[in-house]
Amino acid sequence: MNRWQRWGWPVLILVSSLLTLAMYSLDVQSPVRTIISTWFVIVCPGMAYVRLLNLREKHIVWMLAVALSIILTTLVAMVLIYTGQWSLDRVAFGITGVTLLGVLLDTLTRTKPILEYSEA
Amino acid sequence: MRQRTYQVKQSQAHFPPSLPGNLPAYGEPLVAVIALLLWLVYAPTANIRDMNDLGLVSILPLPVYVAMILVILAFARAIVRREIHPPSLALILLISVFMLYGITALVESEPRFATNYVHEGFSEYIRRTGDLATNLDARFSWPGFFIFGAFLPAIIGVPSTLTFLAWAPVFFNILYCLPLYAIYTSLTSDRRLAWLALWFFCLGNWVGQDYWSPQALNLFMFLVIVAILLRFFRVVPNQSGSPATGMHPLQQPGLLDRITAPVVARMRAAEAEPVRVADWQRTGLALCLVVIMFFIASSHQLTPFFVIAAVTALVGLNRVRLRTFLPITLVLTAVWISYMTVAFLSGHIHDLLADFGSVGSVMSANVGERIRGSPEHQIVVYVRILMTVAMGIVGVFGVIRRWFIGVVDIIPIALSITPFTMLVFQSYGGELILRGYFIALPFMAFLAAGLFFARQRSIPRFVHLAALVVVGIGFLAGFFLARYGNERMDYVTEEELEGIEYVYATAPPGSALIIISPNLPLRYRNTEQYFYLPGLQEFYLAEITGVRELSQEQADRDVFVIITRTQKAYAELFYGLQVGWGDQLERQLLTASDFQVLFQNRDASVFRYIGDERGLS
Repeated sequence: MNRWQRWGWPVLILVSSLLTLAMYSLDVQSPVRTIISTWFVIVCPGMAYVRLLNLREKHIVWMLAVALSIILTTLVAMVLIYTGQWSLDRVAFGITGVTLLGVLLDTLTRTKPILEYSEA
Repeated sequence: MRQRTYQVKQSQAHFPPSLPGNLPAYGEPLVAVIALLLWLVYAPTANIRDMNDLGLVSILPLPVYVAMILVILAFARAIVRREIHPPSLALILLISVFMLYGITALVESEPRFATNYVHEGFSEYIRRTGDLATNLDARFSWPGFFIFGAFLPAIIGVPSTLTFLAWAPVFFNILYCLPLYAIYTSLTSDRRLAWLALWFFCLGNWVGQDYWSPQALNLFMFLVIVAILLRFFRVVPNQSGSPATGMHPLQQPGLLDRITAPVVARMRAAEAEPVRVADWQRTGLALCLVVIMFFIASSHQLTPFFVIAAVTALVGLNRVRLRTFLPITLVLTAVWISYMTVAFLSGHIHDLLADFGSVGSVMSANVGERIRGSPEHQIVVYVRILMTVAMGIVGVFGVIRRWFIGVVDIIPIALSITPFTMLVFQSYGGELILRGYFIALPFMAFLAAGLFFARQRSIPRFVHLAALVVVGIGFLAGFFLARYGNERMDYVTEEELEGIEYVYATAPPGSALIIISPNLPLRYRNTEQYFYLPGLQEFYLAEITGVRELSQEQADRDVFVIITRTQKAYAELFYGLQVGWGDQLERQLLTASDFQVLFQNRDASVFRYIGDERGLS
């Protein structure tokens, strides 16, 4: 595993998460916000967790990353609605927290490479 | 025991040396890029006001068609190369999707399709209140998609989903390509066949269910589930004759095995080897399946049943080893329906079960009742039937051809059929065949592609090229006519939205909004604050007497009558009303003393009922 594979994605997801949250909090009105935030919502939460599976096929990884990103975002919002705690701020902070938790798990598992891909 | 083995002919595509005048590897993508530029220049010049009941095809300039045909030529040429070049195919496919599904976003100034506005209305309600109005509309009982739509605009910094939903079909169809590629490369080791199936899917997806809707997103989720099952949990048929590896470890080959052995051998020959992963990875993937299934169960009424049907088929044919996933799909669906949709079910259980077993009436609602409206619109309906049947027939020929070279694609055959089994249970408002086709298309497209790349050695390459170009152009013509055949009632103009905005600015909460037909860009804001009359079912009020009676019934509240261009077009297309009926109704309202015109432009009129004030009603 090279340095990019180990650290590239976690750093990219971390930066995307923080930028999205910052632009949301400051209510930045810019196409740059739309691009970065769309990237974050559609890819980052799922990618943080899909990386834990250590899959090799890139199209499978992207497919699962997009699917799980949409699902995780929806689930965070859904929990807040059904518990009567809904607010856009809570969803934004919630999905960022879920994403960063995934990054943390990814970083911890990859610094101790016990989850090697199996050919069996 | 004598092991009987069956020689299966090689299905991989191998072509003889290159065609005369061979292009370099970047040749075909370059042609596609030039076609895209041509399309970008000429598509916006189409004048939507000139459209007739054939839809978008009646206004597109000739260079747009030339551009489309160039892309077809480029893809056909790229896929019959001796060695295919996946990045080139991917680029051409991307350009194809952009041109096929993005054309309305380029030609029209406002987001199309009335239902898009209703979906934004549901998300706007959730965004504003943090609540689910399950008593307002049944779709709030399956709120996943609308909740996502509530949050997305806020986080990306746009006012609403209306800002981007014109591009939703492009987004979704690109998204579908990811699981489709995983599915196709599981069903065959022939990459050429996989790419052609992807192309056929894009050319065959005329049903228009890929707008900003729960079913569009849930098709993606459905395909992800199938992709994971086939990629990581597929059972390989045993070549020696028993139906599948590990299925009957103690069973000795008998008469049944000998009978089924040729089929099993052909099944084995068709598919690529499943991807081998460690147990912990498989556990993680199974967890993903459960999460995705939960999302589907909470987001759409119909898709969970399509998933159940597909998983039942795969488990029943012993083609997946994760058999426990079937009861999980059943439990998740049942739990969601039992606990989360009570508000809807309590009043509608009889309606839901009314069609059970009535296949004849369901077919009538899905096909027969759709052949109506203006003569041009009936042509469009017939083309839609033709497109659906054509994809099916090409698929059947594909199955036959693959059988003769020793291959049986049992999984796509099964998954092409299972969505239509829902016809036994429901008509889904006359839409079930459309929805079934939407779910079956990925697998029908694969079977259809099998007709072309079963085995090429005996057929010259230019014959393949010519056949693909002819079929591609045929599907393209059908696609534009079938998909955009309703466009005259689907496109929305700036003037119409000005009228609706006027209503929102003027009508106080609690007002009754009388709409002469349900097809208009309404309900995208404060959806719960108005009474919509006569309801959003298919209904129109062509005469002032009907409008007046309805207004008098609502005399205790403010009553507004909205007439828009899309409503008029809807009644003309679907009910065959003469062009000008809406204008006549507008003139009647203008001259009536009990109605006061508040707003009028060429595409929208807003009237207020004042009968009680003048005592003339």
